[in-house]
Amino acid sequence: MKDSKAYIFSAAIHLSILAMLFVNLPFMRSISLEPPPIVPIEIVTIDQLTQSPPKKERELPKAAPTKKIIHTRTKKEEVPSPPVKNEAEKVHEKTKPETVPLPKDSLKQKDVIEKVEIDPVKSKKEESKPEKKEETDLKPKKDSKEVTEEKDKKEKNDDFTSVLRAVQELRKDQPEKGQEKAFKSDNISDKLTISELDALRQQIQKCWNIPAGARNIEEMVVEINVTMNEDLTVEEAEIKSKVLMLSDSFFRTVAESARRALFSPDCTPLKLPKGKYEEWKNFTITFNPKEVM
Amino acid sequence: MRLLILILCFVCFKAGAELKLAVNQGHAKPLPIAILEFEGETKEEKELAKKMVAVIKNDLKSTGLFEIISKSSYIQEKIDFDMTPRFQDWRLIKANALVNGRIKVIEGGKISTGFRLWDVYASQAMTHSAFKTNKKYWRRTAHLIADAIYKRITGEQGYFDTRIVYVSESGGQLSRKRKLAIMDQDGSGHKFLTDGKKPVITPRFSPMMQTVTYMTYENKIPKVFTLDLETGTQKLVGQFPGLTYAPRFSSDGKSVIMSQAFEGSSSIYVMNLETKRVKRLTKGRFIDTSPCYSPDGGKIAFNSDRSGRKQLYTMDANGRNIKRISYGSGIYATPVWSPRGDLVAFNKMEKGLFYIGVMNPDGTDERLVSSGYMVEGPTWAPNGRTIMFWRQGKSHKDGKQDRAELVVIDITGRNERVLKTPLDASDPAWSPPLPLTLK
Repeated sequence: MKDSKAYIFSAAIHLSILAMLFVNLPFMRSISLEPPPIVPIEIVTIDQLTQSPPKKERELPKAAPTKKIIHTRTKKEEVPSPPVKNEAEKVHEKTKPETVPLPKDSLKQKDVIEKVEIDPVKSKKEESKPEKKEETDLKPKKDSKEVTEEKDKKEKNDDFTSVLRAVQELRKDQPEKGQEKAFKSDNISDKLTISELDALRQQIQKCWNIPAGARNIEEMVVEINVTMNEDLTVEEAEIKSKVLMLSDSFFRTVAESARRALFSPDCTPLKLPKGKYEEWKNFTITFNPKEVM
Repeated sequence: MRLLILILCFVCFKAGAELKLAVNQGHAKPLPIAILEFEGETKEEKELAKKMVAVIKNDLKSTGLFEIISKSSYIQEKIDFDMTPRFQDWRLIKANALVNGRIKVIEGGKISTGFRLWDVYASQAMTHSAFKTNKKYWRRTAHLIADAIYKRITGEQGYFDTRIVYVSESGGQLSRKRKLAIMDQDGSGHKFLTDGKKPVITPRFSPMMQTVTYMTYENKIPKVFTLDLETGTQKLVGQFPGLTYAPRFSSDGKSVIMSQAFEGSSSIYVMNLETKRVKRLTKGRFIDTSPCYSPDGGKIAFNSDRSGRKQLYTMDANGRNIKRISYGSGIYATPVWSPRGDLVAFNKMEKGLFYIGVMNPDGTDERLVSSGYMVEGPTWAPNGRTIMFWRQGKSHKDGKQDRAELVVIDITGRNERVLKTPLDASDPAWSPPLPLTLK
């Protein structure tokens, strides 16, 4: 009796396992593959979609080609022979040094140029610029003991708190406007369209005068944090790599040329949609001369 | 766990939402720069200021990297040396950079010259400097100011306060007089260093000092000399059996490397200038010529026919590890290592034309920058951005030949210009930057 019960129990379990496998495992199903519907796609150039001017107008003079093709002559010319140099005959070592006669007064240069330091002029901008105020906390400060106790309590509360803290850490370098934007971005019409971005890119490309022939220019990538005014002018363009700016004069040259592009009269005002100020109030722009060189 | 993943995804999305733009194209046009007349109170100061600004403008314009904005378009015509310019006025005329300065004649026949360079678009000072010197050296001071402006804007060392030594030629083919001559890089201050009684060829500057090595032939015997331009002292390095070609200083200026032809072959030798000890670096029945050290002194570039046709090779300074670097069609010659070490300039002959080109020291990325009926003898500006060479025109039926001239060109192949010389000119050699004090 006991055995029959065990057999029934075992069979029931096996059947239930088989049923579960049949229901859940995808490979056990027969999937009908329907061909995707045919969507007609036409390949067009991006110019037709963007607000940019026609291609011919947009084409920028490119930097020096890496392989220069030298003009060739149509007429056949004889191979010129280099000038024939005099042949030397056997010589005997002489002990006395010889000199080639020099015309009188050909080498009477006695220069002394002294480098002097001058005081840098204080620019009006520097003078008028108010000193950056340190961020002050207006809330009443708590004792450090209290703070740590509270911290400990919170940590014990649940894992969720620690997750939120981690998130906050990640957001730290994103300014408040980022938060505003996150909510506003929900509305798709507030975002910059590809056409708007493309128009902006093309405008800046026209203003960027790249220092051609500079050493290792193709390896230099300049990132600039741009702060915009509402009237579409650049308020501030901060080059990110401050260390390279100080240590590498070639990087500084490329970075300054990129910054100049943003302040160029041809890029003032920038082509941006006025109604989406919150979207472009702050943005990061990367200048990469690699593709140009 | 799920909650954590969801929140992290949200944060990533948010980070991605930050507006980012990539700009990968631009143009390479000369940088518009405005150079104001330097301030001066007396008539003498004003005249000096005018001459100095003209030299600075000429130096910067000659590079092809700057566009000097015409004075007639200035809105702010005068800037007090101690004041900040009205940047908005300069932005209107699209000046990217602005220079102003002041000259004062001080006691003892000296002048004090200061200048300031401004970034107009960033509305800030870029650099400033001042020099005190005897007023007869106003031209050198102007070159030094141009060097400082060039360096601050391009990141490269300036090369305006440098000199060119070359062979000045005159007379017919049979009675050709070859004198050693010197001038500033802009062609001013021209002087002959030898009287032409003995023909002079292949002058080469020491990379470290104001010393030149050159060759003369007296009774068909080649002699190698060094000439100290600061003191005017000439020394005979030696007389060599067989044909001797193109002596060049080592990077430390302590030895001279050259090729000598002997019994049908030509090998490369190096001579220590102090001990006069000569060491042979290449062997075999090949024609190895035109040796030139890399700026760090560790390598030597030369040309050789060891592969059957003249091609370029490099080897270690001790003569080992010979590697071929040129593989193109035609004949290659005269490799000259750039002072910044990143390129080797060379001469190439192919299908009836001569070319000047540059390639990486491993032979990659060969580019031809100029061509002509006869273009030869490349020499580098000390910053390794500009090359000078000499160009000879065709010979005519009446025996006359087109003028031989010195040509300057950027390594990008742009901005080719001819340097004016009183007579025919060949074999130029560019000096390193002049020291601030010449003894």
